[in-house]
Amino acid sequence: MKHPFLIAAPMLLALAGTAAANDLPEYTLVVKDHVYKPSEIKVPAGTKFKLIVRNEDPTAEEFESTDFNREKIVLPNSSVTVYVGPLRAGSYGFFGDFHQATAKGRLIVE
Amino acid sequence: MVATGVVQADDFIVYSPHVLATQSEIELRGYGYGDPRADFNGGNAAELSVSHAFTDWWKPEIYLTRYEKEPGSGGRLLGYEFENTFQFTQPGEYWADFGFLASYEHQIVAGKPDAVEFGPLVEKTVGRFTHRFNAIWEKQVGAGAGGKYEFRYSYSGTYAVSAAFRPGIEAYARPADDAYQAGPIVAGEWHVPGTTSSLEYRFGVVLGLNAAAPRRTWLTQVEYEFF
Ligand SMILES: [Cu+2]
Repeated sequence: MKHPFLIAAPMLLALAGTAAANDLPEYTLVVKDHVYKPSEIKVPAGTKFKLIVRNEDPTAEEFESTDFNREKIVLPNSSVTVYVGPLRAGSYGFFGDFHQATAKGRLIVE
Repeated sequence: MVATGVVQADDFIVYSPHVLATQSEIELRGYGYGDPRADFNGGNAAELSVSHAFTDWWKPEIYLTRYEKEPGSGGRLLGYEFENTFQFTQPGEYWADFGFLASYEHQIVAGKPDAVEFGPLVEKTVGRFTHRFNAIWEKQVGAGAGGKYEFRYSYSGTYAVSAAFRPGIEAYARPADDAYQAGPIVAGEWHVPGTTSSLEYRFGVVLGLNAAAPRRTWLTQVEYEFF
């Protein structure tokens, strides 16, 4: 293993092979008064998609899911893109780590 | 002393390429050998570090204190380390998530050269499973430096039963030391209610897979994160 950058080649290939990330289906989720709207989103099974999480509160929120393993900070009055899936059919919870009592939602994958 | 190379060659962590923008962390991490053989008996180490993610792709971390006790000798402070995690791709954007680690270790021990460390960090999540792979090259620099790259690699696989309970396995390989280790770990995150901070932990024990590796190495990590 004298050549550290040998490992970079497969990495770049993996990136190139999936460069179509911009064509993914998109769903929007709004955080307002520490509540997710909508609280349920229907998405297709077996498909990767983008979740645009927009925070309209004056405080930061952390979009988080244990069911589909994501964690991302959404600063006040800004939005982030969360890549999700492909997921199998089922129901997957997400929450706002900073306001767990109110910020709750589900992805219904079918 | 045979054990010297073994002790300094690993820090027993499998890094994630993920950077959470604006997050700060205080972290305490350590390990100790459970092996009666003279090369390992009583060896342990601990590090205290702070970090802050200035952007969603760059997290610098400063190790303020690095302590090490080599088998058969007293404990001592090693110096400081400046470590950087770079996140190259968004989680889930591609087949796997890629990042890079680059760090500089400044030693305060006489006769111990400084070192640089770098290598790719890979993570793949599938549902509740998380797989991580690191490949790290270390090279001594400055006065008295050896010219060789020392290579090590590591893997961690965990399953999120809940945010607070993620059991799994970790494996560490250091071909230059002929040392291979693997064993169970448990990690998790507990959010402090009503705040933007959380506590994270990770405990485990990796077992020597061959005779040149320590029989048992106990791993501990606690972390306080805030925004
Ligand atoms: Cu969190």
